[in-house]
Amino acid sequence: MSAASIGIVAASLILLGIFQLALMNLNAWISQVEQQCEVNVYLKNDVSGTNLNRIQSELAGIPDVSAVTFFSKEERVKRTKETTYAGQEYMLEDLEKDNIVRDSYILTVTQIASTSQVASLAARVPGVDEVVNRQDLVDKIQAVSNVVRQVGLWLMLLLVLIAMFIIANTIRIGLISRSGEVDIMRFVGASNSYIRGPFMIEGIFLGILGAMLACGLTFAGYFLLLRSATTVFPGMEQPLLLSLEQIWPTLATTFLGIGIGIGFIGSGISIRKHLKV
Amino acid sequence: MIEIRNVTKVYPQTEVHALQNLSVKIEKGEFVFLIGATGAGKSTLMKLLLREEVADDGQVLINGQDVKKLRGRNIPKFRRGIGVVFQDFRLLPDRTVYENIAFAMQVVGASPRKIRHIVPQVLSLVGLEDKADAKPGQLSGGEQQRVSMARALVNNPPLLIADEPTGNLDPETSDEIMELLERINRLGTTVLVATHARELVNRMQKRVLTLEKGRLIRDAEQGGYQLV
Repeated sequence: MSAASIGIVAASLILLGIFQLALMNLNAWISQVEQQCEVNVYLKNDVSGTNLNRIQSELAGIPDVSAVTFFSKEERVKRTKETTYAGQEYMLEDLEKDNIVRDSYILTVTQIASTSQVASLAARVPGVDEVVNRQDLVDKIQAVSNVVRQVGLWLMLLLVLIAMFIIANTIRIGLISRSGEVDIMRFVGASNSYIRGPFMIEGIFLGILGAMLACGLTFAGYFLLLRSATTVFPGMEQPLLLSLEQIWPTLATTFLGIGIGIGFIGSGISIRKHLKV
Repeated sequence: MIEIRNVTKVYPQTEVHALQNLSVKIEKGEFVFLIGATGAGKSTLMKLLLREEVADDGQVLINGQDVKKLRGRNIPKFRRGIGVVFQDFRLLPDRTVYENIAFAMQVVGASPRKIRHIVPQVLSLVGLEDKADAKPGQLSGGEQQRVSMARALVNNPPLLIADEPTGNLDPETSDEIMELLERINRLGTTVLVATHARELVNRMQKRVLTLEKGRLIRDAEQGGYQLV
């Protein structure tokens, strides 16, 4: 029964951990993207020569745009090869033959707040095919992270309740098996805290053990994820996922805090219900 | 010592009138028997004195303290003033005689030095000096009851309540237990004994309270066991 309690506490915390890690990484992406303050302007394929100069000066004339950088399709393919697909360049060979990749300008914007305005103005410049505003990306990540937060919250709440219930039951069994002793303590005049203390401590201890188990398993799992991520996407490890050092303090405190809370409330419920003082 | 004024207790689930308008006074240093058939209200009265139950009506005063008015956290302290002995001894089977008695002192926070000092004294009072290291399972019923009496006395309560202390014992052992209760009483402790042991009550010539269907039907000084 104690093992079951520890297990269920660990399980609910691991689930919480997965959601929390996802949120932390999504938030890190958001701030990373926001820091870049860029708007990508993709041009139509038939634009060339003097048109390019005109477009460039029009883009530069948009308020809050501090720099306009031309990025040809050849450059883009080359850069992608060097970063994301380093060592697997053959995967992009077809891309060079077809003309899927478009010429583009990268607009550097002075402040994040202006990016959507800059994007909408840039879209009106003739010859511009599509404008990719980083804000759109931020909004998309934000939407995903909101869903993750909602789902995670409810699932976690459910599991935490189950964990509390199981701890309460474990403590109840302890109370029953030691009812003789508890009875004697009562009629010789043991204080309430003297009688309740050991049971509270037992519940909290179960919570702490569960939290420690969850910490161990979650960190091990995340470590494996990091390692496999760097092999699948070489060169992109840093921006892709937060490092173990960046996540463990938050996660460990959350786990311990919630574990102790589950144990405290679980044993408290049981004691209140079954231990008449 | 104990003053019970017009106490009524009804158990709501069964609607049994356990006690009806009961009034009785027990002075300090008395030795009192409480008799009556099963269901007459003896146990309920004991529970009221220990504040395990609360009277629906009337007052239970112990040393002038209205038991009903005790707040939750003061109840343990209040119970330390009452030693309790049960028919089924209620000893911890996995601890020695010494540990069982010391337990009652540890629970109320006595110092280890005081425990080492007092426990042997109480053991000798009940005549079990040489059984200190035995487990309850190795003792006879009478010896076990004496251990539980030692435990009840170890914190030196002014009042000792015994609920059928000889219920599980043969007549000869019962005599010994009663003698011990009498000795404890002579040392100054007020003793209240609920019992069915007719002959013992008759022989000991103490004050006898007779309960029937929750009412006090007889209160006799030096009384005997008479069924009305």
